[in-house]
Amino acid sequence: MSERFFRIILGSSLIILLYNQWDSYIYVYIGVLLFEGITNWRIPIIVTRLRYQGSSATTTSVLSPACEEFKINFDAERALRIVVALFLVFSFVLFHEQTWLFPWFIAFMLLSAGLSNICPMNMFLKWVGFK
Amino acid sequence: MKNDNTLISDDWAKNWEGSIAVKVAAVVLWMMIAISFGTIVLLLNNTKNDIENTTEWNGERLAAYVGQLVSQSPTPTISEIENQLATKIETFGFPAIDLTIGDLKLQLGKYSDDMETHYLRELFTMYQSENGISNKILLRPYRYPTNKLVKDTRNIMVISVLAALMLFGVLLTWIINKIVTKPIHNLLHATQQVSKGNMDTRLAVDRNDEFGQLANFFNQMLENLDEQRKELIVALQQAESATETKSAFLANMSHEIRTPLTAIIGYAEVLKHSERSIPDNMEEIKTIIRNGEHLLKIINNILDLSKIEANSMEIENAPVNLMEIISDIKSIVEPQTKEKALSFNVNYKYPLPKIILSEPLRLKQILLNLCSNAVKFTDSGSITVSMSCDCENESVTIQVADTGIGMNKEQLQRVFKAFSQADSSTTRKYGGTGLGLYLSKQLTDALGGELAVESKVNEGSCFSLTVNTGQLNFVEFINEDSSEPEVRPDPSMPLQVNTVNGCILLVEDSLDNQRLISLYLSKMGASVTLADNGKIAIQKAMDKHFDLILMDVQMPVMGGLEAVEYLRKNKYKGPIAALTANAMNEDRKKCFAAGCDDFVSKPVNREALYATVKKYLDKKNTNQDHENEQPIISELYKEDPSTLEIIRQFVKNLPGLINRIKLAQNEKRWEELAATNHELKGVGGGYGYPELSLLALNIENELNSNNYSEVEKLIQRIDSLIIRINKGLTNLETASINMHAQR
Repeated sequence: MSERFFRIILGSSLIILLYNQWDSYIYVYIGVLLFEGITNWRIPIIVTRLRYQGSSATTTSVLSPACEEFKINFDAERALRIVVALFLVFSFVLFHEQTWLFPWFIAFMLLSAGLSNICPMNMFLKWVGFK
Repeated sequence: MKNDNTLISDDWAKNWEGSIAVKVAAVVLWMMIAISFGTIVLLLNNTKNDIENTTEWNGERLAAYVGQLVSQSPTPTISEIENQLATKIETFGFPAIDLTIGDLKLQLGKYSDDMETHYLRELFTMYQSENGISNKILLRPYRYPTNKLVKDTRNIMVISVLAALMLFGVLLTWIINKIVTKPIHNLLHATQQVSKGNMDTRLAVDRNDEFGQLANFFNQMLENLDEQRKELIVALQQAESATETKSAFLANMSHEIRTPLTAIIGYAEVLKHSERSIPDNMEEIKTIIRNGEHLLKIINNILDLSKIEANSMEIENAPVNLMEIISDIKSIVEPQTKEKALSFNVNYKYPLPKIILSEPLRLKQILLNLCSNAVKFTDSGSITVSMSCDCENESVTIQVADTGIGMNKEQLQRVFKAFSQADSSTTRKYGGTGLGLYLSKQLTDALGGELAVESKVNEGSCFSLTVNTGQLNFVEFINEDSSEPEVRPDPSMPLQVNTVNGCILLVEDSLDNQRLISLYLSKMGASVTLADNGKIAIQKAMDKHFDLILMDVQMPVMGGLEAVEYLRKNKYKGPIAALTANAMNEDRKKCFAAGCDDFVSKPVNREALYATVKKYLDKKNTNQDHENEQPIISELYKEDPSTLEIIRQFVKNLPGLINRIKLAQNEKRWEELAATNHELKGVGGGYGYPELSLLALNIENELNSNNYSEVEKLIQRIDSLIIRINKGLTNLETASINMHAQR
């Protein structure tokens, strides 16, 4: 399973959860993202390994000039999971009334990343120095 | 395996960099999202207030409706009221209501636990039941909490706006991709095809925008590339063809060169071991000479061919006496025709120009080749050479007709091609390299003429050579047999022995050439001194007087030209003729520039050598004869003896003037010669030497008639005049001295 496809799943599932106001499931959603970010047991990796019986697919990454100077030894995808989870905690859990639109924004950005094959957040994190 | 396509971590940056479609889609979608969220924020700014106001308003409407309903006439029954409310309840935005009429409580709609009471109100209107009792009406509409309503509203609005804008964005992306990305993909695909070698690929030019222009230029570029590729292929084929031709040429020439060499070496070996006398060995000697001449002819043909191929054939137009050329050819060809019992005829169709402007050497070469071919391919009958002049077109046509084997149409088409005789059977029967007519054609083209042929099988062939004559306005014409061209001496006649008298210095490093040329010169009657190089030649020339120096050009220690320059710098005035194998005009100019008076090309032709030697040794003899002639006294002195000094100065400077005339004549600078001769004519008369002026006048007249051979003869007479003038001056000076002594 590619990250791109998983983005589509993430984005569309968050949209569904927000529309139906299934707050508890949103908390689970946040929990899964945090789990993936902290442990690096990302769903796409797990699914791919299960499908292809342990064959290792390499991570291709293009390091930006910033990363060449100070490389943060932390996957950008993991960082993205954590960032998205924190954004959701901030906007949905803590300041829901004031920032009710932000979770929707996150959902559609995730969906757009999957559809357009471009993830600006990931590119930004790599530019910062994540690997 | 799908491994290659399923990367755990997609390289989003590469996706951005690697595809225009991705860039377009991403930018459009994100812009749509940004716009949509901005729109949503604007639209949903006061959602809560709006919902509360709407709910309030709906509550009032509901209360008014219920009041109106119960006060209808006739008064509706409870069930009717219930039914009507049930259908209308949703239009008021309340999912459930409690309606209490008296003691009766009605629950309408769908009630859920998360609902709350909007209000509990007793209506002003009373319900009049059937029994006439007025009942109080209590109305309690239920609604969802405001937050929920706000959330629902927001959700719907967000989904709707985002979905609409996303759809719009997708449509926009699709349009942009269609406009931009598709042509780029087409271009990419076409470029890939071209890189694979498919040069027939072309882009469809179905639009006029930048992509249309790009497609147009792409197609043009491909067409240019295709054309260049085809030209390269043609060039490659030509190069391969040239290589094949070269190989064929080498193969052909290898045989043609080896054949006479084999005969020469073979017969020379025979002679080496022969104990017979020279007359008995004459047959072998003649064979060696014949094969040597044949080999020389082949080599000359090869050199001419290479010059033509390299476009370095130099054509220098000069006055040509056609009658003399025909006469020369007749003298060469007639003996050959006699051997085969053929008749050789020459027809002149008058009037004919005496002199034309052309290249004498090449013209003779072409005609000799045509005549030799005619002799070769004719077994019986005659060979006729006809000459006619077309004054209007300023051209002369020389036809060589024979009664030989002739050629058919197919053979005629090949006859002027290199290495191609009429057919292979001709080559076997008659031999030859197949270069003669090809060279003749090329030389004719170089002369600016035409060479054509007509032929019939078994009847013979007629070759027509047409060359330009140059301007004929001031040329003398020969009419009706008025002057039979002088027949030149037969070059095949045996060498005249003891016809010259003098000392010759032969400077030649090759021992074989020394022996050969010495033998020639000795047979002529000259005494020969040898020198191996230029340095020795200088020593000998300075020590002893020589009537002629024959100087080889390329020698070790000191070359010929260097030696000549040294001699001339040191006031050596004797005649020097260069001996060299380099026969190009440039080389001749170098020889004359160094100070040579004449030029003999190698391999040394006996007749040419004889002519050159005779010229200079005859001159010497002529000078000696003229020493007995009467001295010339200046007429100016006779009138005024006091002019002796200026006459002396004039006579002292006279050799310089004469040398300029001779140099101009040697180098064929006729205009300069005319100018200097004119000067001589003037001063000669002015200083009292009318003989000098008369000679100069004759030279001038011959120059004007372009009769250069006569000019040469007249210039040779100047020396004798100078000697007589010097003698006269000497006598005058002697007489003057005696006169002073007597006084």
